Amino acid sequence: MSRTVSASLPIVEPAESDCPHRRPRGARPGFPFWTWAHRLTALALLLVFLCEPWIPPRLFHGNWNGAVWFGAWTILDPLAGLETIVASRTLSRELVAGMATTVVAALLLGRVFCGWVCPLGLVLELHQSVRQRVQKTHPPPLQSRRTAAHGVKFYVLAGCLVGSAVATVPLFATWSPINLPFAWRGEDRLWALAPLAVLLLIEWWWPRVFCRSLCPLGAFYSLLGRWSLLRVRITGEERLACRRCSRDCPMGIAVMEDYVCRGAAAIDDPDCTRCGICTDRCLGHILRLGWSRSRS
Amino acid sequence: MDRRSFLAAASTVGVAGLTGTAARRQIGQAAHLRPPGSRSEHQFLSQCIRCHHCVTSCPVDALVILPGVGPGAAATPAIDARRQPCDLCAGQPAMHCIDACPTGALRPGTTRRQVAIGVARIDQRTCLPFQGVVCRACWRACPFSGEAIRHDALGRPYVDPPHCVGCGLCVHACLTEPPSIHVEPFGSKRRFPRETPP
Repeated sequence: MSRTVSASLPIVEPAESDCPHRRPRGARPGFPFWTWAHRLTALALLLVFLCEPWIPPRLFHGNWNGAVWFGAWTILDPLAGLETIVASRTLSRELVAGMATTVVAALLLGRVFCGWVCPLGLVLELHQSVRQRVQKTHPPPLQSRRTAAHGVKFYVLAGCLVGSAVATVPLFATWSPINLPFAWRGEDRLWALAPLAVLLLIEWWWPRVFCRSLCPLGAFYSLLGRWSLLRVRITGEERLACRRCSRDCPMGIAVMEDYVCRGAAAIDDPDCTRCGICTDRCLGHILRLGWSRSRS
Repeated sequence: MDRRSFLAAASTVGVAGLTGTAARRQIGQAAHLRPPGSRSEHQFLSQCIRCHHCVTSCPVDALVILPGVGPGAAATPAIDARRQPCDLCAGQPAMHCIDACPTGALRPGTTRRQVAIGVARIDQRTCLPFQGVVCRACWRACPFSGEAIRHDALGRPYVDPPHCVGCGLCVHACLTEPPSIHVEPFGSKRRFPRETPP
């Protein structure tokens, strides 16, 4: 069986012994259900947050640092909460109750916030797909995407906590590019949009670098989500080496090379946002979003 | 620990320390009137995550959001007493902003008398009774009139700091322009000299 790498798929071929499967012939992907599901969920939430001043407070109020739904359900950004704890050296019951939703969700579902909720994630993902359409390729090559310094975000997280403790002010909560450009109330609009503009510029050459390598909130969620139950499961025996999952993963996870070809039962990369794009692109229909406890 | 991760950790701590120190310089330079339940400017800024729940929950719309971006006072809630003072949610079971605060920056369980927004001070050069005009506007507006604002034998007002919570109702009520009474927020570097009753 010959393996040719087409120009639009600048990917690294796994060794023959790693993945003894055939290339698909005539296989078609299904309807991109999860792709649209996660994008529309994030878009709906973004619209709610942008319309916050016109929504009755008993239904919803707040911003991305902390929001109250239906007048009773407080949801706090866990990193903002953690920063106030180290900045003020106090722990209050309200804070723990507010952080509970996001922390429990991350423990069960992993970085699901990044794919399904985060407004910056949505904008950067759309930016990424526009960029692919414009440039008509999928650069940069997967190799460089994979070698992005994923660990840097953990240092950023540690830096945010140390900095907040020194400054006695929550630092990321005041600068957060997740909150500032996407909350309508209060901030200086021009300055609030500046971090977003800078990120869009950077990511034209280096897609999703913020989410993969810099975001301290994403780092916190991926630490919490290490043992989460929701995963992309790899089902079925016949594994086609089409590599669309690796090519289109927004987080640059080498789904095919690192998981499918190695016979893993599920993708346990802590950076996986459970966006489901790989399951939609899969030509063999072997990737499913579902519950899995196994760690390969 | 190998050399590379040691360098990464050391530079993280270094950058974070420098940023933190720079951010710390910004806070407390200008103190503002904070919502009820805050204890000091410093404490308030360390716990406020700029979610603005207090702003939306205020029934009299007394809280404004300070302009700017970044650590320090930017995007935090404050009271502009001359525009709209805090009425301490008079006649209601609890103060709405304290109930709304998700982080405890506005300490829960604060009673109206424990509120410490600041202390009112009277400018005797412009205050009407000191010019010989009868005026009791501040006294009438004060939620603790007779305790926080009192009058001497000549009908001139003075503030008793231990009883004043700094709500700013007197500032709003003052007849002169600019107001002859203002609230000095807690956390400002200036001191509060007790105004001696004559």
